[in-house]
Amino acid sequence: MDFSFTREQDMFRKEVIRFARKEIVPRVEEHDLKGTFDFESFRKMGAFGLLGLHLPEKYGGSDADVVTTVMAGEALGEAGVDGGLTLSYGAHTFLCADTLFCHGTEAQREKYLPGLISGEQIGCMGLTEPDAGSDVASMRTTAEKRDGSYVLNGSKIFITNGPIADVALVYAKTDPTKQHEGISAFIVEKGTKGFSAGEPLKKMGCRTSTTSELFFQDCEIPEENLVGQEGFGFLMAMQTVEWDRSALLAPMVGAIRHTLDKSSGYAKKRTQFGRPISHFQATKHKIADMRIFYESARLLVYRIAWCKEQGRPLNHLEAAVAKLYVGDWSLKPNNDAVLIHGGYGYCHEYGMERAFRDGRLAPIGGGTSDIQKKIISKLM
Amino acid sequence: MNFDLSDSDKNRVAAVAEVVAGSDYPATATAANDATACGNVLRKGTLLLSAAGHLASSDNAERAVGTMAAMAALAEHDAKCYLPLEMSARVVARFIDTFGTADQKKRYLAGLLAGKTLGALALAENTMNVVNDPLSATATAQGNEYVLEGAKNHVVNAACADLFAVVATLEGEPAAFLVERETAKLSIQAGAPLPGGGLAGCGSLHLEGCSVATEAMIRPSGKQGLLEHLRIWENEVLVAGALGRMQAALAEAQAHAREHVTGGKPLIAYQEVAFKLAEMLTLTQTAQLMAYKTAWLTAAGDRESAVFNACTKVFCTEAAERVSSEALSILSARGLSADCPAQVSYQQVKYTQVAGTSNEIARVMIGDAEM
Repeated sequence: MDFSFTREQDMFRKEVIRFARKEIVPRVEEHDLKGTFDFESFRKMGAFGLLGLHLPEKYGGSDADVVTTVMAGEALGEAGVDGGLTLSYGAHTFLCADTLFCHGTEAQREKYLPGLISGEQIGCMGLTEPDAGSDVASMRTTAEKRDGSYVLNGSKIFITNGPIADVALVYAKTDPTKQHEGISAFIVEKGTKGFSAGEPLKKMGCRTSTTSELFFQDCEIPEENLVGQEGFGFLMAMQTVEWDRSALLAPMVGAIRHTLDKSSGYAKKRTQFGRPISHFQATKHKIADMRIFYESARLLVYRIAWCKEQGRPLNHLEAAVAKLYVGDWSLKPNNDAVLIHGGYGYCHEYGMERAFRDGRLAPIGGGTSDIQKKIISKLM
Repeated sequence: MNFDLSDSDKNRVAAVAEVVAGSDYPATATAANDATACGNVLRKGTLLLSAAGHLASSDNAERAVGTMAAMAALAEHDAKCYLPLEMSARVVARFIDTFGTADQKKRYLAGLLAGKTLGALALAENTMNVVNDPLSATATAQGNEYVLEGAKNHVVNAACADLFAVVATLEGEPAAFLVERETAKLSIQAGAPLPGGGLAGCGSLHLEGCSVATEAMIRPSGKQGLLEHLRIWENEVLVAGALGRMQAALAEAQAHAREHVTGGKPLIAYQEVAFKLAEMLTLTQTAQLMAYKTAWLTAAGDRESAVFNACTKVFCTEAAERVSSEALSILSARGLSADCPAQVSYQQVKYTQVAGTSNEIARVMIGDAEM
């Protein structure tokens, strides 16, 4: 075993933190209060190279390895970038662009990846439906093949980047008589007739990431918009799981480091009963628990990144363990950060209530904790 | 970066399991209340494990990870011998190996690693921690000797050890003294066995003008002090112990959930049981990674190693309690029998929390490091 990062990886992490603190963090509070997506930051992330870090240079990416890519996400969280923007970044980069890269035709890659990688275009993935969340096979959206095109009907819900996406990677049943084997993936561009997004949903946290329903009403798309082969959509969606459990969890782990730093700093300055609250054991214990969670969660996230880097096929157990742990066990450190800040923790300015709200998504989004337990127990 | 145990590490883990399962490995059942029998069991166990390569020094980070995994395997397969054996052959031997003089190594090391000599660390005093309360045991130079005064408590192996590494204050700084069992003016009280039926009793030593030669003194130089080194190594033994017991509890609960049929289906088919097992596995895998990383950092001499060691101590020992407790819930009536591995785990893991750097003090140390 070797738990070290390369010197280049460490330097890159620091660079991302510096970039994010300068270019993104100053606008986080404003956008969170308004509940709006920060296009400027997103495009700057594209210009910096974060949106296609792991994708090939020929499409505008940087060909980075998986661990470095995951590290970038952690650095964003550590810098203080909110959970909304990192969620949008994850959905865009890994659920949409990466799937297009892995399963799309060369023509599809050339058409869509450069815009997605630069941040000029925004991507989303449409999988979840009102009655098909964890139970993907129950999806009702259909794609019927007609004379050189597919016609989509149905709706999607809880789609990150839904209201702002230029490119949607949509999963639909090409064979409704089948379960998982009947699911296929399609590219649907913004402005396509019969395709619309709902109003942004009002969410508890991750408010800078706009989320909505997607509607398809006799939405006709050319047959070349099929991604991969018919019937392979479920497998493609499952292949995003490793990114979902590493690159999308990494910002959450980084965010814990951020709240830990903020909480430590606050505790040293805040005086009660004649001494800083950092001198009280109860405060030290909370800080210690935050640090313990950060260290342990970090190991699980980098383990799945490393497994993916090795090219091992679908690391479901490692992925589910990481997701369950980060999801369920992160609630306490986020809560402790609010408690250490007392009344200020409940107010917006200190950022702890935002971190608390953003962190609440961890055991829900991308497969609930109960689903992770189901996966783990099946694999035991 | 590499998250796999090497083949060599895996072989070491398998070798420990094989030794413990072998017909030569000593039975512990009749030894619990008999110091001589305990000592014999531990000596033979040490010899067999040493022959299998288990006690070789962990002088690099890669090897240290394998050592941690093998230690956990020993705790998993032999709950009774693990703590006393590792405290002797790992902590005391490692201390002498790392900081001892050539003469001290020549005199004691081979015996400790071959089970001819059993060692005990005499560090704790009235309380188990040595952080809040300064050491009261003292050493005073008198000619070619040091004279030791004071009492040591909570000494694992007190009843059967041949050699004690006694920590005392010498001219205001902590130092260790290698004191043989038969030394005059050293009296030993065996003490009660630890919970969970281990062979380790926690006894006490009374040193009333006990003289040892100046050559028996060990005082390391360097940034990390003697107490910090000993605590980190002791914590590693406790961490591996907790990890091993967690692995044993999980394995037993998992097997039972598959085999035991109730309401016409195996226990694991019930979602509540399956979900408990999933959480237990999650905690166990996380604890493994923490334990391996702390061993790796310590061996690499990383500046964060002390804080990470404290983080690992808290995480692993508390996760072990939760995993053992959940295992008992799954095992139901079967968990009530005294020799049930999960129950042994449940009883033993509390010791791993309060011993070494107690989890409360570890949290304070981590908090101080952060702030």
